[in-house]
Amino acid sequence: MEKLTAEQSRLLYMVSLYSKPSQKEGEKALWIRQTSLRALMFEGIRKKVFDWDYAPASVMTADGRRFMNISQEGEDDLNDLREMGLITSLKLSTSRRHFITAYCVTQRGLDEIGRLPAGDKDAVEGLVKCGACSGKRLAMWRDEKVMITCEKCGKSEESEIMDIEDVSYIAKAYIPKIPILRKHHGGA
Amino acid sequence: MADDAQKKVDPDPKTTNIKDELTEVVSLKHVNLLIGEYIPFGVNHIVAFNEKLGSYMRVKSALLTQVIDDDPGGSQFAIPSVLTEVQVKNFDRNDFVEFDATIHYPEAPGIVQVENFGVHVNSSGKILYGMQLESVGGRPADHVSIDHLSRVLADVVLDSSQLMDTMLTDYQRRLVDLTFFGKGENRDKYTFILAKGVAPDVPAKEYMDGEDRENELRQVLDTFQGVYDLLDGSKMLVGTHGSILISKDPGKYELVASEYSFLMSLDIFIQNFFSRLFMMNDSVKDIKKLIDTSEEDPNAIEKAQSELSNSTSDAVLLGEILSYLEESASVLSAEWAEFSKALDPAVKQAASVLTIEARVDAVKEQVKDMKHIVDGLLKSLEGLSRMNETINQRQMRRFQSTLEDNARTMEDMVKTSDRTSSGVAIMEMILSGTLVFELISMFSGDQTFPIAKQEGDLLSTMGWALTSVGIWAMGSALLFWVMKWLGDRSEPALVLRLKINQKFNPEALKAYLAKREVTTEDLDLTGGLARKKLMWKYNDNIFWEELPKWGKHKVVINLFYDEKTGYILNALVEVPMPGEMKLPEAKAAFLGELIEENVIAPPRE
Repeated sequence: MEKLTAEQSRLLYMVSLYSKPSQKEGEKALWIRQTSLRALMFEGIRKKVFDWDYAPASVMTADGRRFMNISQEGEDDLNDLREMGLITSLKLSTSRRHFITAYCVTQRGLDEIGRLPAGDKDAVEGLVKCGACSGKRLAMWRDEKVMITCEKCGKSEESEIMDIEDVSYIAKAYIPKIPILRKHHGGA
Repeated sequence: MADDAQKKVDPDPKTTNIKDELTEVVSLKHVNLLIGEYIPFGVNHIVAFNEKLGSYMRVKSALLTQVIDDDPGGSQFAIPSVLTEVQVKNFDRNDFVEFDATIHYPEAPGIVQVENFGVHVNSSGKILYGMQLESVGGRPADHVSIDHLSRVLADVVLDSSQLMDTMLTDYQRRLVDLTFFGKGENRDKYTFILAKGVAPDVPAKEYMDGEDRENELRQVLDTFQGVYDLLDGSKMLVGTHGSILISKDPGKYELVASEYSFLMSLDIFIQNFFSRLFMMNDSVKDIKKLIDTSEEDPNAIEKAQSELSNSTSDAVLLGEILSYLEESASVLSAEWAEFSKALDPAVKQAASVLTIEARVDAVKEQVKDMKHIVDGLLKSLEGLSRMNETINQRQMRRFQSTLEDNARTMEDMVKTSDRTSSGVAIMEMILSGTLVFELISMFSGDQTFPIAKQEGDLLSTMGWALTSVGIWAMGSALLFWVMKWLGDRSEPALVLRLKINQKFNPEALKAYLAKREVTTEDLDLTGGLARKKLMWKYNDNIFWEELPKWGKHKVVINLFYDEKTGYILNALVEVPMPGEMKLPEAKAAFLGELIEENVIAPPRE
């Protein structure tokens, strides 16, 4: 297996804090939903835990499509971890008949976590732990917003993942020269 | 990792509010954007659209606003500054219209966006928005960073929806909202980017490196579907949400780019429509479950009726959307058959790798397939409606039988009550007699009157007895009269039932009720409503005060309103001892209270 980059190590550790594979028969596995993971990844970029770029992308949420700040490098690292067999993904259908993805660390991923540098684990813990009570912070889709809430003390703040940044631009109108098949010909 | 000279770029705060340091890997030169969209259109809609844009006018430009004129007979009106300006370039009354649109939507401080769109709309629902970028992030057109372009695209996709929503009919907006689950304003579109150059300029397959270049380009393309070097040296990068074509002569690819971006947008629409059909199928199952539990759950039938009515109206609209899609698919097929006849070899190659012809055929198949589902849904809803009707009839029969039983019981009760009344009247007579005799005995003491002094004087005894009976009759009549007077006095003398059905101001109602001593509150949450009944009294026998509108009258008020819809429905005003007060005065007093405290608006003159 290839050596993990710092971002991949941190991402794997973060996924392991929010998921748990089933280890004996009858035990339920715990999965983290894609939107929650993306919100935590975005928080990580803002807090310099992950050195990735992000850009707005139209993604499916629990309430239909929304523009969110998504890191394609982060998505790429997530896919790399899947290819290495360290995490696994699950597709499930929502009540709106859309498909969403969820992730879970694998047993192999749990074994790998034992070998991760302590500095990477500390950086992730600094990101996911509540500043007030050290409880774990969960990202949830609530009332058309992504809220990051401490599971212990309930302290909650809105994630900026849906704040799409603007850029100045000047654009001229452009109509492509395409032929028109006239069905009725009403005259111009 | 790609060996590009990656540039860490700090965003210029004068031209952007990006908070992160960007790593720039790929940039494009002289970019034209083509964004496709499908909206259900028919000939009548395009005629109305041309009318709205003023296509037939001598001056073919207009300002547009979303404000609705609710007083068209008035003389003047004031509205916020107009945000959309259009200039018609070319049109056919029944087939299409092409226009330039300038929008001035508010942006974040420091951000300057000069947004001019070229828009093509035709009667088969094809919408194309075109933009030529002259400067992005303060840089000239020959250096458009992908990081910046992704933010421009997000802005353009949302703003173009807002622009189009200003011009669509209410009916079309409803169809779009229905398909996109009530979030039509966030609908997705497909983007085709035409550029004259790229940096770094490498063979197409090197952009799909699985690392930095691919990650950067995915910000505008989403997942890569393929990369192609075309015969004339052009490059095409195809993704699930956008494509990029880099060519020295991008103009010759306009037809393919337009057809493909429309086809992909049509595909987005169909995917949402398909999901909507399945969601509707779930609703049908839920309604069936509600009907099945109608015997156990008292609210089930009401809920089932409401959901059945909503689902039926949605299913009818879905059927209408499907017929628009059918028409669009057949026009698309005829268009492509006509236009693809004389294509340049490189353009033909682009059309071939984009599999346009196969996609056009697939759209026709998809529409045909969905027709079965819509037909099935309509039939299921019809069946459910019949089931619901049967249950309604069964409940009505049961209700009627209960009503008959009640009527019979009431008849028995009336008879019993009549008998009891007669008994009570006899008892009253006996009691009044006893009382009168007691009174006579009390006033006469044990002494007898002279007429009855001689024992055995029958006449005297009879006279005394008749006098006593006469006094008894008068006493009883007096007692009955007093009881009748008391009974009349206890009846509510003035009862006013007011049907109001007017919107209320929630804050004002809250303040109004805070000043009243509400003694009874009933809340009915069935049928998705929140109907409240409140009761309060003025001058309730404990506190007697002079009220400006009611004087010293005792008043009982029952107010019925719906918190959810914000309507005051009706009121019941009772004045037990009205004195001189008449119904119009009671009505004026109660409505006057509500109007004075701004709970409801005063009636229009």
